[in-house]
Amino acid sequence: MLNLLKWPGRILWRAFFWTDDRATWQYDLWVIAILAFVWLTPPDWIGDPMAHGHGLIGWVLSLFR
Amino acid sequence: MTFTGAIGTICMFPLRAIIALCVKLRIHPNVLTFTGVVVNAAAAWALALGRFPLAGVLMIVANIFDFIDGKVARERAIETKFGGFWDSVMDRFSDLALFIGLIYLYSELHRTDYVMIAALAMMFAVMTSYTRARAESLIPKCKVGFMERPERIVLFMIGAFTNRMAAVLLVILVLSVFTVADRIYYTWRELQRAGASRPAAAGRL
Repeated sequence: MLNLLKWPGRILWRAFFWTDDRATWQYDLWVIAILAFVWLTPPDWIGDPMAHGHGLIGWVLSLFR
Repeated sequence: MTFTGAIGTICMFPLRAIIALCVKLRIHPNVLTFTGVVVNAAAAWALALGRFPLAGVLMIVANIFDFIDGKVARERAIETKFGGFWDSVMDRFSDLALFIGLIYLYSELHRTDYVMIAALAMMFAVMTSYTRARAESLIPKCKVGFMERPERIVLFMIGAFTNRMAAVLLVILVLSVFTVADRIYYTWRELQRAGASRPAAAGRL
Protein backbone atom coordinates (compact mmCIF):
# COMPACT_ATOMS: atom_id res chain seq x y z
CA MET A 1 0.00 0.00 0.00
CA LEU A 2 2.80 2.38 0.92
CA ASN A 3 4.47 1.60 -2.39
CA LEU A 4 1.23 2.40 -4.22
CA LEU A 5 1.05 5.75 -2.45
CA LYS A 6 4.63 6.48 -3.43
CA TRP A 7 3.91 6.11 -7.17
CA PRO A 8 2.17 9.47 -7.74
CA GLY A 9 5.02 11.19 -5.93
CA ARG A 10 7.59 9.40 -8.05
CA ILE A 11 5.75 10.26 -11.26
CA LEU A 12 5.50 13.93 -10.27
CA TRP A 13 9.18 14.00 -9.22
CA ARG A 14 10.25 12.51 -12.54
CA ALA A 15 7.99 14.88 -14.49
CA PHE A 16 9.26 18.02 -12.79
CA PHE A 17 12.83 16.93 -12.10
CA TRP A 18 13.26 16.32 -15.80
CA THR A 19 16.28 14.28 -16.95
CA ASP A 20 14.85 12.48 -20.02
CA ASP A 21 15.75 13.26 -23.61
CA ARG A 22 13.60 14.79 -26.32
CA ALA A 23 11.61 12.48 -28.63
CA THR A 24 10.89 9.94 -25.88
CA TRP A 25 7.40 8.83 -24.83
CA GLN A 26 7.83 10.75 -21.57
CA TYR A 27 8.56 13.89 -23.59
CA ASP A 28 5.48 13.24 -25.73
CA LEU A 29 3.32 13.04 -22.58
CA TRP A 30 4.61 16.42 -21.42
CA VAL A 31 3.95 17.93 -24.86
CA ILE A 32 0.38 16.56 -24.86
CA ALA A 33 -0.24 17.94 -21.35
CA ILE A 34 1.12 21.37 -22.31
CA LEU A 35 -0.86 21.55 -25.56
CA ALA A 36 -4.01 20.46 -23.72
CA PHE A 37 -3.53 23.27 -21.21
CA VAL A 38 -2.76 25.87 -23.90
CA TRP A 39 -5.62 24.96 -26.23
CA LEU A 40 -8.30 23.73 -23.86
CA THR A 41 -8.09 26.30 -21.06
CA PRO A 42 -10.73 28.95 -21.75
CA PRO A 43 -8.98 32.33 -22.30
CA ASP A 44 -11.50 34.00 -19.94
CA TRP A 45 -10.45 31.71 -17.07
CA ILE A 46 -6.87 33.00 -17.18
CA GLY A 47 -7.81 36.57 -18.14
CA ASP A 48 -6.06 36.45 -21.52
CA PRO A 49 -5.69 40.09 -22.65
CA MET A 50 -5.75 39.16 -26.37
CA ALA A 51 -8.24 36.27 -26.58
CA HIS A 52 -11.76 35.92 -25.29
CA GLY A 53 -14.42 33.26 -24.91
CA HIS A 54 -14.76 30.01 -23.05
CA GLY A 55 -12.85 27.85 -25.51
CA LEU A 56 -13.41 24.14 -26.02
CA ILE A 57 -13.91 23.32 -22.33
CA GLY A 58 -16.51 26.08 -22.02
CA TRP A 59 -18.33 24.76 -25.07
CA VAL A 60 -18.39 21.20 -23.66
CA LEU A 61 -19.59 22.49 -20.26
CA SER A 62 -22.34 24.51 -21.94
CA LEU A 63 -23.72 21.27 -23.43
CA PHE A 64 -24.42 19.96 -19.91
CA ARG A 65 -26.11 23.14 -18.68
CA MET B 1 8.92 6.45 -33.21
CA THR B 2 7.43 9.05 -30.89
CA PHE B 3 5.20 11.73 -32.36
CA THR B 4 7.60 14.56 -31.44
CA GLY B 5 10.37 12.52 -33.12
CA ALA B 6 8.21 12.14 -36.24
CA ILE B 7 7.55 15.91 -36.36
CA GLY B 8 11.30 16.53 -36.05
CA THR B 9 12.06 14.10 -38.90
CA ILE B 10 9.45 15.72 -41.16
CA CYS B 11 10.79 19.23 -40.43
CA MET B 12 14.33 18.12 -41.28
CA PHE B 13 13.47 17.53 -44.98
CA PRO B 14 13.07 21.20 -45.99
CA LEU B 15 15.79 22.25 -43.54
CA ARG B 16 18.32 19.95 -45.22
CA ALA B 17 17.62 21.67 -48.54
CA ILE B 18 18.09 25.13 -46.95
CA ILE B 19 21.35 24.00 -45.31
CA ALA B 20 22.62 22.66 -48.66
CA LEU B 21 21.71 25.97 -50.35
CA CYS B 22 23.55 28.01 -47.70
CA VAL B 23 26.62 25.78 -48.04
CA LYS B 24 26.51 26.18 -51.85
CA LEU B 25 26.17 29.96 -51.57
CA ARG B 26 29.06 29.97 -49.04
CA ILE B 27 27.09 32.04 -46.53
CA HIS B 28 29.04 32.43 -43.30
CA PRO B 29 27.27 30.84 -40.28
CA ASN B 30 27.83 33.95 -38.14
CA VAL B 31 25.90 35.96 -40.74
CA LEU B 32 23.05 33.45 -40.51
CA THR B 33 23.06 33.79 -36.71
CA PHE B 34 22.92 37.58 -36.91
CA THR B 35 20.16 37.50 -39.54
CA GLY B 36 18.14 35.30 -37.18
CA VAL B 37 18.40 37.91 -34.42
CA VAL B 38 17.33 40.73 -36.76
CA VAL B 39 14.26 38.73 -37.89
CA ASN B 40 13.49 37.86 -34.25
CA ALA B 41 13.59 41.57 -33.43
CA ALA B 42 11.00 42.08 -36.18
CA ALA B 43 8.92 39.30 -34.61
CA ALA B 44 9.16 41.08 -31.25
CA TRP B 45 7.94 44.27 -32.93
CA ALA B 46 4.96 42.35 -34.38
CA LEU B 47 4.19 40.91 -30.92
CA ALA B 48 4.33 44.41 -29.44
CA LEU B 49 1.72 45.52 -31.97
CA GLY B 50 -0.45 42.49 -31.18
CA ARG B 51 -0.01 41.11 -34.71
CA PHE B 52 0.43 37.52 -33.58
CA PRO B 53 0.15 35.64 -36.92
CA LEU B 54 2.82 37.90 -38.48
CA ALA B 55 4.98 37.41 -35.38
CA GLY B 56 4.54 33.63 -35.76
CA VAL B 57 5.71 33.69 -39.39
CA LEU B 58 8.71 35.88 -38.51
CA MET B 59 9.61 33.55 -35.61
CA ILE B 60 9.62 30.57 -37.98
CA VAL B 61 11.95 32.39 -40.40
CA ALA B 62 14.21 33.60 -37.57
CA ASN B 63 14.50 30.17 -36.05
CA ILE B 64 15.30 28.54 -39.37
CA PHE B 65 18.38 30.79 -39.48
CA ASP B 66 19.09 30.00 -35.85
CA PHE B 67 18.76 26.27 -36.40
CA ILE B 68 20.87 25.98 -39.54
CA ASP B 69 23.86 28.14 -38.54
CA GLY B 70 25.62 25.39 -36.60
CA LYS B 71 24.83 22.78 -39.25
CA VAL B 72 26.20 25.02 -42.02
CA ALA B 73 29.38 25.59 -39.97
CA ARG B 74 29.83 21.82 -39.60
CA GLU B 75 29.12 21.12 -43.29
CA ARG B 76 31.65 23.75 -44.35
CA ALA B 77 34.11 22.61 -41.65
CA ILE B 78 34.45 26.17 -40.31
CA GLU B 79 33.29 25.58 -36.74
CA THR B 80 34.97 27.94 -34.30
CA LYS B 81 34.75 28.53 -30.55
CA PHE B 82 33.78 32.12 -31.25
CA GLY B 83 30.93 30.90 -33.47
CA GLY B 84 29.50 28.94 -30.52
CA PHE B 85 29.88 31.93 -28.23
CA TRP B 86 28.33 34.31 -30.80
CA ASP B 87 25.39 31.92 -31.27
CA SER B 88 24.71 31.70 -27.51
CA VAL B 89 24.88 35.46 -27.05
CA MET B 90 22.61 36.14 -30.03
CA ASP B 91 20.14 33.54 -28.71
CA ARG B 92 19.81 35.54 -25.48
CA PHE B 93 19.10 38.72 -27.47
CA SER B 94 16.43 36.88 -29.46
CA ASP B 95 14.81 35.46 -26.31
CA LEU B 96 14.77 38.81 -24.55
CA ALA B 97 13.44 40.64 -27.60
CA LEU B 98 10.34 38.42 -27.78
CA PHE B 99 9.56 38.88 -24.09
CA ILE B 100 10.08 42.64 -24.34
CA GLY B 101 7.64 42.73 -27.26
CA LEU B 102 5.00 41.04 -25.11
CA ILE B 103 5.75 43.27 -22.11
CA TYR B 104 5.23 46.33 -24.33
CA LEU B 105 1.95 44.90 -25.66
CA TYR B 106 0.52 44.12 -22.22
CA SER B 107 1.62 47.48 -20.80
CA GLU B 108 -0.16 49.21 -23.71
CA LEU B 109 -3.27 47.21 -22.76
CA HIS B 110 -2.81 48.28 -19.09
CA ARG B 111 -2.54 44.65 -17.99
CA THR B 112 -0.05 44.83 -15.13
CA ASP B 113 -0.71 41.18 -14.25
CA TYR B 114 0.52 39.93 -17.61
CA VAL B 115 3.36 42.48 -17.67
CA MET B 116 4.57 40.82 -14.46
CA ILE B 117 4.01 37.29 -15.79
CA ALA B 118 5.96 38.09 -18.97
CA ALA B 119 8.73 39.79 -16.96
CA LEU B 120 9.03 36.84 -14.58
CA ALA B 121 9.00 34.36 -17.47
CA MET B 122 11.79 36.43 -19.08
CA MET B 123 13.79 36.38 -15.85
CA PHE B 124 13.52 32.60 -15.48
CA ALA B 125 14.24 32.04 -19.20
CA VAL B 126 17.52 33.93 -18.76
CA MET B 127 18.24 32.07 -15.50
CA THR B 128 17.64 28.75 -17.29
CA SER B 129 20.55 29.52 -19.61
CA TYR B 130 22.70 31.07 -16.90
CA THR B 131 22.36 28.18 -14.43
CA ARG B 132 23.46 25.69 -17.08
CA ALA B 133 26.37 27.83 -18.27
CA ARG B 134 27.58 28.40 -14.68
CA ALA B 135 26.98 24.78 -13.66
CA GLU B 136 29.01 23.50 -16.60
CA SER B 137 31.98 25.51 -15.36
CA LEU B 138 31.83 23.31 -12.23
CA ILE B 139 30.51 19.94 -13.46
CA PRO B 140 30.81 18.27 -16.89
CA LYS B 141 27.13 18.51 -17.89
CA CYS B 142 23.93 20.04 -16.57
CA LYS B 143 21.32 19.19 -19.17
CA VAL B 144 18.31 18.73 -16.89
CA GLY B 145 14.95 20.49 -16.82
CA PHE B 146 12.24 20.52 -19.47
CA MET B 147 11.85 24.14 -20.53
CA GLU B 148 14.87 24.85 -22.70
CA ARG B 149 15.12 27.30 -25.59
CA PRO B 150 13.64 25.07 -28.35
CA GLU B 151 10.57 24.35 -26.19
CA ARG B 152 10.15 28.07 -25.46
CA ILE B 153 10.40 28.99 -29.13
CA VAL B 154 7.91 26.35 -30.27
CA LEU B 155 5.51 27.45 -27.52
CA PHE B 156 5.84 31.10 -28.62
CA MET B 157 4.96 30.04 -32.17
CA ILE B 158 1.95 28.01 -31.00
CA GLY B 159 0.81 30.94 -28.86
CA ALA B 160 1.19 33.35 -31.77
CA PHE B 161 -0.55 31.22 -34.40
CA THR B 162 -3.45 30.13 -32.19
CA ASN B 163 -3.77 33.37 -30.19
CA ARG B 164 -3.12 31.62 -26.87
CA MET B 165 -0.11 33.66 -25.75
CA ALA B 166 -1.34 34.12 -22.17
CA ALA B 167 -1.55 30.35 -21.58
CA VAL B 168 1.84 29.91 -23.26
CA LEU B 169 3.43 32.51 -20.97
CA LEU B 170 2.02 30.74 -17.90
CA VAL B 171 3.44 27.41 -19.08
CA ILE B 172 6.84 28.97 -19.84
CA LEU B 173 6.93 30.67 -16.44
CA VAL B 174 5.98 27.62 -14.36
CA LEU B 175 8.21 25.15 -16.22
CA SER B 176 11.14 27.60 -16.32
CA VAL B 177 10.95 27.95 -12.52
CA PHE B 178 11.16 24.15 -12.23
CA THR B 179 13.99 24.00 -14.78
CA VAL B 180 16.08 26.52 -12.85
CA ALA B 181 15.35 24.66 -9.59
CA ASP B 182 16.29 21.34 -11.27
CA ARG B 183 19.62 22.75 -12.39
CA ILE B 184 20.47 24.19 -9.00
CA TYR B 185 19.57 20.91 -7.27
CA TYR B 186 21.36 18.77 -9.86
CA THR B 187 24.54 20.86 -9.62
CA TRP B 188 24.48 20.74 -5.80
CA ARG B 189 23.98 16.95 -5.90
CA GLU B 190 26.76 16.40 -8.43
CA LEU B 191 29.17 18.56 -6.41
CA GLN B 192 28.25 16.69 -3.23
CA ARG B 193 28.86 13.41 -5.04
CA ALA B 194 32.22 14.59 -6.28
CA GLY B 195 33.11 15.83 -2.83
CA ALA B 196 33.83 19.21 -4.27
CA SER B 197 31.41 21.24 -2.19
CA ARG B 198 34.22 22.84 -0.22
CA PRO B 199 34.21 26.64 -0.33
CA ALA B 200 35.75 27.70 -3.60
CA ALA B 201 38.71 30.03 -3.58
CA ALA B 202 37.01 32.53 -5.83
CA GLY B 203 33.57 33.44 -7.05
CA ARG B 204 31.88 32.95 -3.70
CA LEU B 205 30.72 35.47 -1.15
